[in-house]
Amino acid sequence: MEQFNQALTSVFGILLVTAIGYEIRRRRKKLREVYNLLDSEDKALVHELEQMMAAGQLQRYEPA
Amino acid sequence: MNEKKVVIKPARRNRQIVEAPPAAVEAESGSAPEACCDEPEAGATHDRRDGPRFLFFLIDSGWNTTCTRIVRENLDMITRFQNNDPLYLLTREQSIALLKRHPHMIGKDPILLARDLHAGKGQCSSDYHGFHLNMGMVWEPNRAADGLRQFLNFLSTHRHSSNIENDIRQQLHRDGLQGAIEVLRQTGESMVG
Repeated sequence: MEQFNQALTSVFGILLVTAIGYEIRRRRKKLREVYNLLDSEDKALVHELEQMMAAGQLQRYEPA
Repeated sequence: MNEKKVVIKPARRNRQIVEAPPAAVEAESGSAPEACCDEPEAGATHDRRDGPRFLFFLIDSGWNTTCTRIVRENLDMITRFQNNDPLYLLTREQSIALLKRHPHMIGKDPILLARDLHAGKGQCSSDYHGFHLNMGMVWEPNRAADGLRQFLNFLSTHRHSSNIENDIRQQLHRDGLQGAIEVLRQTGESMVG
């Protein structure tokens, strides 16, 4: 019986740690989607924006 | 969700839209995107307090969302809190054309993209050249406003950082043990309400 209780506690402990780990991972993934670093995948996009800016195609916002 | 329909209004007349000064900003932007991860020059400091640190671009294809309204209403705040670093607004047509050429960004707009003009000048990652706030990924108005505030706060407090990429990972992406604790704390707060 004691062994069974220990095993049950261990299983629930592992489940709890796994759930916490999963939640942290999920929230971090969401944060990375919202605050995303410009990496090699975005290099072409940034280069294009800079070209548009240099060509005077973009409007610069000026505060009132 | 019972969300109010928000229509994007054109820029108010008292706000002046001026043409980009290509030569001036191009000079500020320095190196081309390919020229990343140079070794720092001898005696060079990363604490460059003169000139803009970022170029901001607002890409907005016109999704009729509350997030769009929040960004548009706070354009003044973006420029004022970022030492008047240049902010360029893409028109709806320009945004759609750009996103069609880069489809991995579709649905994430409005995107506030911050091009780091100091990237590649001594930072170790070869790929880093800025970051962006994908407002389209946030649906709740409160979280969208909070996300924008946090973004501006982060930019202001770290604009002189020599390794802003690392700061982003630690503070915005919540990497590391401290970040994990912070994620748990926020989860607890959201559960309590």
